[in-house]
Amino acid sequence: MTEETGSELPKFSHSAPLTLGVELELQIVGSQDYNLIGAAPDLLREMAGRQHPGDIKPEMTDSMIELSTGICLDYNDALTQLRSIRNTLVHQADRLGILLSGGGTHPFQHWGQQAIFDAPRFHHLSQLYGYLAKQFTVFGQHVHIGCACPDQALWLLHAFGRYIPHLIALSAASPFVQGFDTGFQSARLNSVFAFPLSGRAPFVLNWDDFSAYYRKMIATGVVKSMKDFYWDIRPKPEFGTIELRVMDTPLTVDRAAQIAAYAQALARYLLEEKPVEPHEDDYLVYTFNRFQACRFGYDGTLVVPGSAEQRVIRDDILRTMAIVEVHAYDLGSTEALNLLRTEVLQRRNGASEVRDAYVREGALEEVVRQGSERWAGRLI
Amino acid sequence: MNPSAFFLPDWPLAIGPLLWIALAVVGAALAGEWVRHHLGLPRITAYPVVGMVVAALAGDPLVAEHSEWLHRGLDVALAILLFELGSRVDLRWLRNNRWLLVTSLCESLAAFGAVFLVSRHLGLAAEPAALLAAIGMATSPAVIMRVVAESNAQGQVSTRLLILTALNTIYAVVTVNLTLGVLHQRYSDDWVLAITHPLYLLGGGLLVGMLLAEAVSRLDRWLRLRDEYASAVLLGLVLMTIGLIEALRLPVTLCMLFAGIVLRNATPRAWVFPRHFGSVGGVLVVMLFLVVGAQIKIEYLLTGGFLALVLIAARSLAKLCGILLLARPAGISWRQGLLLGLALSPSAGPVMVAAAEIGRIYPQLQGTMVPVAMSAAAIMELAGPVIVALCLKWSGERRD
Repeated sequence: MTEETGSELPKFSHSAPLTLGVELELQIVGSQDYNLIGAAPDLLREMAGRQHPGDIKPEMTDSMIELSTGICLDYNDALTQLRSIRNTLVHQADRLGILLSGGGTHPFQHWGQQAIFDAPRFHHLSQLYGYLAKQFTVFGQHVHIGCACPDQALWLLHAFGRYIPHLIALSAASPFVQGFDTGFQSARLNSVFAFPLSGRAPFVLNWDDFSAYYRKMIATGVVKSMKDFYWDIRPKPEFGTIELRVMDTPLTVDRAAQIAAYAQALARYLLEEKPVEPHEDDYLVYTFNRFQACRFGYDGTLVVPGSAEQRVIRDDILRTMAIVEVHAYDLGSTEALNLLRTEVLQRRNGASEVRDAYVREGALEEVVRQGSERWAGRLI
Repeated sequence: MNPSAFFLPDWPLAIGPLLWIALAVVGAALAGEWVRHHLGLPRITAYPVVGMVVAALAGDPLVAEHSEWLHRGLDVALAILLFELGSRVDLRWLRNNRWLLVTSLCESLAAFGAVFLVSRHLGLAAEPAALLAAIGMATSPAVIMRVVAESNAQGQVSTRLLILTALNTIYAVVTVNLTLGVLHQRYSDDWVLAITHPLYLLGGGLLVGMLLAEAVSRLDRWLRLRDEYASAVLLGLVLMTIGLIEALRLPVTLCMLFAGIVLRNATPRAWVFPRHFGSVGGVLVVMLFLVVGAQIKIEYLLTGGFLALVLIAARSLAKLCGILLLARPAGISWRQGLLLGLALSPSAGPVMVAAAEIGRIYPQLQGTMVPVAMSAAAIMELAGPVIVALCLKWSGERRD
């Protein structure tokens, strides 16, 4: 990743439409006390030179690590790549006596104990944001969707806004923060909202207008690059993609691939059928919908943009799944969609699984241990 | 001088040894804080020094008169430490990373070889040399546990330091007992005794360890051991175990380490050693290091000092080489290997106690092996915590 410092947006690269890329931020956990452990440098060192698809990168604090796939054509490709990277990582973690885990938050870590990863960018962010940077020890899934041209990217970005609650509810896996049940399904997103440049992208549908906005923001000195925007969805001109960023890292790579497949099917449906035209006014209900999804998950209420119709998020997801089914079929991800639908029908997501594990075991350490076993694919 | 009233004390005041010991404890605790604040060193660096000074001031009778209950306190402190150390040993890690196990065998064997060769070269007979070498395999569990806990270190160096210490302590106890078996044969010409003794120690140690582990894990299901008040129950259990160990004439070291290992590995369930119980041990550790310091005698340092230094150098170098040889296959960087190798150098305090006891059993060794072992242990008892603290600091794993 090179740091762009110019005042111009990088050129929007060409990418094959609807290709996928998945990034997952992982928790590195010590096997002594099951708390986060600053082992990212060790893991990166041992991963160096080993063959695997995609990439492994450091993150803000040294108890986080990010894995990413290469460009994936479909669900099966993404799943294969993710499993392969996961296996390589888990093998190295086993050698180091450390554990890896999915989930949007570590249930009982204290942000004050985290150390910033030793790299200039992270030190800069830490200086700028203070304790927010360390509180940002949360773990998300990002999904890239390839777009044919920049205008299409912006159009898709805003059309997707309506479905953000779906992605939150399906991926939510962060009920516990600092040792307590927050009552939220995705408490992770609350940490993201604290950042001044979080939220949604400005409503612009034309790349030239977007570039102008970007130039103005650079001129204010508030941002230095696209990376400084912590938007829920943001364009990634270098890749020629839009990047969906609201998901918690799910508890398994399989789930991560399924969610990516759902997003891909949705994107195909939106682009091919153009069921709606995005409007600025769609965002009137945006933060309400998003909060409902974070707090209540499938049981939350969603207001359909452009109407006063209220729906339970679960029903809206199931309805949407029925609509995009044919696109999922064409993309080869029927299996993924069916697995996800079962989860929704059984009202199960990462958050409910973490809570169930806590009720069953009575100790957050054991919840973390089982989480790491699940992540490694050793516990079904 | 006659007191004017029956209720007034004698004059001059008769200061009992208890007061001396209490004074030593307070002095040690304060010195520990001072060392920590002003020199940035772990507290336990100060304890043996204070112990040595107080013993020199108060004279021999101090420790001798109270050796009975001091010995007991020392046993309890050690038992808790070893129990916790054992519970840090993750056997699954050893299965996943065979090179770690090989490293452990390698560094212990290297230390054994180095100490044996050097002491043979310096004119010791084969049996006492083997005994010394066996003792030299162990890294001080007390020093490692306390320094790691105090600097709140986490990472490859500190975690491996704990597991390697637990393992080399086990090897050392086993080898010491095997060597003792040989000594038995040599001194009493009884084959059966020589073979059954170490077997009994090992088997019995494992059995008692399993009993304690079973009791604690059953208890853990009933009440939350994480609770402060549950420490009393745990302490009681440890005391009961020590009683049993004594009745069975088994080594405390082995039993408690096995207990910890069984507790951690018998079920896959997450086990975190109760922090409060660790603190109980932490307080007793002041006593442990004081008593160890008090046993350091200047005359030992004079008779065994030089040989001790040579031994320490050879042993530390051997351990360092053993670690560095396999650092990369075992998954640590050269730098981490260097620091881990150095941090393994503190020699074991309980070994000193063992050496004293062996000296009692075999007076023939009193003049040769005992002073060397004692002074080597003493030097490392004083320098060890500093070395470990520095290694952890340089590894970047300190979080205090």
